[in-house]
Amino acid sequence: MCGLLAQITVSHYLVVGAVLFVTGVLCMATKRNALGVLMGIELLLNGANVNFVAFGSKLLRADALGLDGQLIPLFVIVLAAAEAAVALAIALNFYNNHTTVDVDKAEELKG
Amino acid sequence: MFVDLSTIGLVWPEFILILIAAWIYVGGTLAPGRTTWNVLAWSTYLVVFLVMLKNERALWHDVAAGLVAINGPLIVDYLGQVSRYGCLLLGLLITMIASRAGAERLATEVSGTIMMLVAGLMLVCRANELVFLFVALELISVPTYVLLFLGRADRASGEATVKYFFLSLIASAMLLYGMSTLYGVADGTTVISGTAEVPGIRGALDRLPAGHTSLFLIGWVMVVCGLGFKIAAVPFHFYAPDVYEGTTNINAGLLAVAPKVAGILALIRLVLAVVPADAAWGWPLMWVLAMLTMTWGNVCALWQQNLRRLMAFSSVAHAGYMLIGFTVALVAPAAGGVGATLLYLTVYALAGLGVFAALAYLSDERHEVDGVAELAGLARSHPWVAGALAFCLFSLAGIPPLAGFWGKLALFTGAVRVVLAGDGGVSSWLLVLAVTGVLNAVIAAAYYLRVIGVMYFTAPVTRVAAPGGMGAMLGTLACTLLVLVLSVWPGLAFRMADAADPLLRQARPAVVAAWRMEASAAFAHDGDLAGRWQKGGD
Repeated sequence: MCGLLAQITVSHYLVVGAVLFVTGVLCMATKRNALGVLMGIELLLNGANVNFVAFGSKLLRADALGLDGQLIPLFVIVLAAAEAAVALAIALNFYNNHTTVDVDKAEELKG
Repeated sequence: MFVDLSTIGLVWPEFILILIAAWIYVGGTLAPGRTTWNVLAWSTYLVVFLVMLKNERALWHDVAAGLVAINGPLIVDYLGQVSRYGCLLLGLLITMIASRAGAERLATEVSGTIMMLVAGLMLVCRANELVFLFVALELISVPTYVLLFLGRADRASGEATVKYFFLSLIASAMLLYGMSTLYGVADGTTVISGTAEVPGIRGALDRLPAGHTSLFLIGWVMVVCGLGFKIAAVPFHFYAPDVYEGTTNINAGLLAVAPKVAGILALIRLVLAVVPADAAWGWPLMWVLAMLTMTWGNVCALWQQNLRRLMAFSSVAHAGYMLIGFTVALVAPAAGGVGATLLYLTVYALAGLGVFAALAYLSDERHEVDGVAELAGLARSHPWVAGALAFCLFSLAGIPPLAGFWGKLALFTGAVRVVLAGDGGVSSWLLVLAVTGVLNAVIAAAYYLRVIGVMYFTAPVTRVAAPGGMGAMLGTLACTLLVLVLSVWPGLAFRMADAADPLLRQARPAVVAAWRMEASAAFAHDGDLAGRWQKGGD
């Protein structure tokens, strides 16, 4: 068990972060529901958060300094919450005008 | 990082702005009304500006002498100082222009949100830490979403808000992902330009082992992409025309200026600062971005009939010109490319805001001026507005001797100077860039002159009412006046922009841990620079 854990390095976490990020991009590209797109954004931000925590962890890297890597995700999580609050207002406004939250219906402005 | 009381002392203006903004939000619900709260907002900007001027005299003297100080997450230098005052002025102008924005009931929300945005802009000016920079940029983005949402309540506005919101969030996430990579590559430090004791990302990258370069490149490119969205560089510009068209003239003016100022400052602070001096891969990316951005923006603007779409493509093109300065700075840091970009940014921000202020003066929430044709005969019905609009458009087009011309001159001569001094390979690429820039300026003149021609040489179709109010009128005049000052007195702007170029600063070892250190005599006080500042600005 201990041997298995010892083999886990920063790179493994980076792969998790990258997979989260790519999943978020795919989610944003394919979802038509505005709230689904918002979930994709959460995945993007959390992909970056995983990177920060992995890079800043003393368990994974001997040369990690301080707690910065753990604190940055806290800031990002709070920001994501603030953005979600604004997103709900924007989605509600969109629903009032278009009677749907399908972002593919946002196609009238072009030229 | 190591936040102490001196850091709080450095950011008190931003604290005051956020407190007053919160007060405006709360007070606006208790005592609704436009005038009182607008006057409070205006006087806040003015009082903060004047008190900052009075309190920071010693600081001004230090930074004008070329001192660069790192204090916790802040970097205190000439660029940060000048741009903070500029951002306050920008806030005052935008609040003036938006004094009639939106419904009466929501008036306080608008002025409070603009104040939050200005606080974010001022924080970006001096950000020297990854998470500080990111949070400050979000303090600009989130109020922008709210302002777009408050702008108007129709289908087009809802669509524009949704588009801007989601695309801006992707850009922020890309920026954050790039920052996380930079953080990991640089030995787990979040400070961007560090001191001798705390090396910072820049210092850590110099000791980077060869295997890490690809990870660093990923981070760098993602940061450039995220910030490229903010300045609307091609290929991240596609939101701009739709969003500008869908929203109000006031919001379009805000979008044309605030994210661009923040994006350029963040590019200077983060992207330029973390490129190792001998990196050969930085400038080709910027070169491609600059070429694409200015050409695509100008060519697309040629056949636009909607004024805000036209101005959107023109703002894309102007971002392209500014990227010329970054390319020059990446090829030859001492060539003054960043100074030229800062000069151009100032000139563009004032003239662009002036155009949108004039359009806001001609509009209200019942009818926004949309089409170029609606301006027909404006010179006869509203000669002053037409004059101010034409003046700002001439400046954007770069007609000599207006301010826009001096900005373009600084950018193009910067590139040409490197060509003349440089070696074969790089200099021919820069020559191509400079020539394309000049050709683009010619293309741009076509569509600006078309708008001016419609205003002056076409008979009026419908009489344009001017319900925008005194605030928008004052804003228009103030922007025009500032452009005029920069036009007749470009030497002042040139000197200040040159002195603000942080790449020229880094040549000297003037990095200290606390800005009030009495040991400042030990640092290179450049008497010539101080003298220039005394002559130029005081």
